[in-house]
Amino acid sequence: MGARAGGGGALKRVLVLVTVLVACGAGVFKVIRHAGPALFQVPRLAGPRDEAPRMQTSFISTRKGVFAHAASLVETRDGRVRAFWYSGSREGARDVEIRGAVLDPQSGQWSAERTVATREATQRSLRRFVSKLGNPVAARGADGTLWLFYVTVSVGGWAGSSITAISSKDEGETWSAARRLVTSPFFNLSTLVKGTPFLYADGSLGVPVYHEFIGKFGEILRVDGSGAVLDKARLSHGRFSLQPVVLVKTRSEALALMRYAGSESPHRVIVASTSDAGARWTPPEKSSLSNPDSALSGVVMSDGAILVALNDVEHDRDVLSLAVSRDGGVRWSAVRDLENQRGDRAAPLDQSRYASTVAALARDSGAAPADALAIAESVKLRSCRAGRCGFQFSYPYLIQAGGGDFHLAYTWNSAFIKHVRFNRAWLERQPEKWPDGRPH
Amino acid sequence: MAGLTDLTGLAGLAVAAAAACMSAPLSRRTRAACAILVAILALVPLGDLPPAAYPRGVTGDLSVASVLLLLRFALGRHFGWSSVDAREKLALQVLIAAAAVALYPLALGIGPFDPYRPGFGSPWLVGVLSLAALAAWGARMPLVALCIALALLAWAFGWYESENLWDYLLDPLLSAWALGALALRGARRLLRARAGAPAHRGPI
Repeated sequence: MGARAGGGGALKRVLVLVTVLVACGAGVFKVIRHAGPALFQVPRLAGPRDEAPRMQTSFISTRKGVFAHAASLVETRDGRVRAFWYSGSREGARDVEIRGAVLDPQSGQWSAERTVATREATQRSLRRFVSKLGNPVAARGADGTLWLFYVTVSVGGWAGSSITAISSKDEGETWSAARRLVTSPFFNLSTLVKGTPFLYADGSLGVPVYHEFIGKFGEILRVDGSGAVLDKARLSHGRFSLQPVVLVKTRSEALALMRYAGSESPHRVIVASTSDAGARWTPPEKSSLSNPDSALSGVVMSDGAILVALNDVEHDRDVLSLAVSRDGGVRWSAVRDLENQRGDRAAPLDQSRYASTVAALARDSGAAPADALAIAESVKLRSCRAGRCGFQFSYPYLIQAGGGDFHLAYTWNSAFIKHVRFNRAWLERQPEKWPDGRPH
Repeated sequence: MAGLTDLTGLAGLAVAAAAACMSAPLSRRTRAACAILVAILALVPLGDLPPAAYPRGVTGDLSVASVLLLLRFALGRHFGWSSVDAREKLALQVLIAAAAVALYPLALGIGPFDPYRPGFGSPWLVGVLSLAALAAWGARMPLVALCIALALLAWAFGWYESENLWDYLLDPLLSAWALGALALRGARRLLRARAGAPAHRGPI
């Protein structure tokens, strides 16, 4: 009996050892197959062309009476531009959906908006409860697949976010089942997307993400062609930086600009840089660009100059500007205020004057006169509290299309998504000013 | 159609539900029937989602180590296996607690170093874990060795939706169990020492 028990014990011990050895071998095999570090892929962009200056504005979203926020843009293979954003009865509501529309570049008209992803469809696909949806970010994979990463929350506020990904092989007409990216060991809490994704030379995708739970900091996820997370790298730490935007300058150099979420003045865009393709990033520091704790977006142009869209003020989001740096992000000069309602800050408008101002702005932005009043009513619902109303132009998302045109989408008074399209000739005609207002 | 990683993730929570049944003060057969029923019910879709999908939304997938320990508990209670050796249980709790203390605060952004990052495929982490599993086997701690080995194996084969090895080794609930057990153990020792102190003083 004792001998049999002893034999059983020895057999169990051998089985455990075999399991351990097989597991070690499998682990080593996986490590060997794991993708190593990669250089950045520098986007191929059209340079300045001999063409007339062109700039036009329009509204992408059309639903009235809803909250609309956090637009993202991506160019389709046939040269159209597809926009995504989220909207619903209010931020964080259960009826929030990811919406989309397509721009016909010839006519300059946006298609009717339609639903891309819903909370219900996402939770069915993920096989887990989802309570709300948030920021979407679109990306083009190296193999041509269109990716849409968006924020999902199962419990709590935005600190409880995780990232969900869907992909499309037909330029966004239909989408795959959702998959969740696991990016944090603590209940996978608190990872959000906002910044424009970029490519690595090996075909993997860099997705700038940020955390806002215990810390507020930026990271880069490296995601392969199947949506699996290969790696992640920290851009900052602590509690003062969010929503990184990675601007790839060369195969090994990039600049990361981040929203300043701290409380110490001056309120400035946080910047970090790398010269080894993201293996190491410089310690984050304040740049010369102002930032009122709000998102920004940017692109590196064909001549290496960097163009960003941001709220270049230290408080509030009632000014949205373009700024340019021609020395790799050291010095910045203001190019143009695309929106500026700063004058109304000192003497806030009552609801009726506010509505007429919004209607006028809507008409200037390309809305039909008949539609402008309805737009103003929708904005009033979002932007007026206790009889006082304010302006908000936020969450810019800037891309440069293959043809050379720049497309900027942003949240317009929390109620609509606005689109600004301009070309390099228009940009070059804008008088540049140093931050102190002096002209160049 | 659920993918493999959805099934494995939901199954882990079904095992947790079954283990909860097995801890109930019921007869052996009733406990087993309850465990099987609860595990099945957790996975059967009611409307859009199976019941296990709701806690899954909050907890994520349980680590392989958690599922193994829950299975060990449930099966051990049913078949009357002897409980885990106290020395091995303590080693397991210390390892889990130490890993949790080292991992979570830094991974959540306290400091520039992110210990979660090596979990995506660092040869160092895999090497250290392989050695730890072999050392646990050598020290006759089969449960510790299996927790590490099965986590490595599951990670290598993409058992869960996570690509990070840490998520197979550890989860916050397992960490809370280990930290709680160690804190309780420490508190008991402290109380015992305090209660015993006058008795020591007396005879001397």
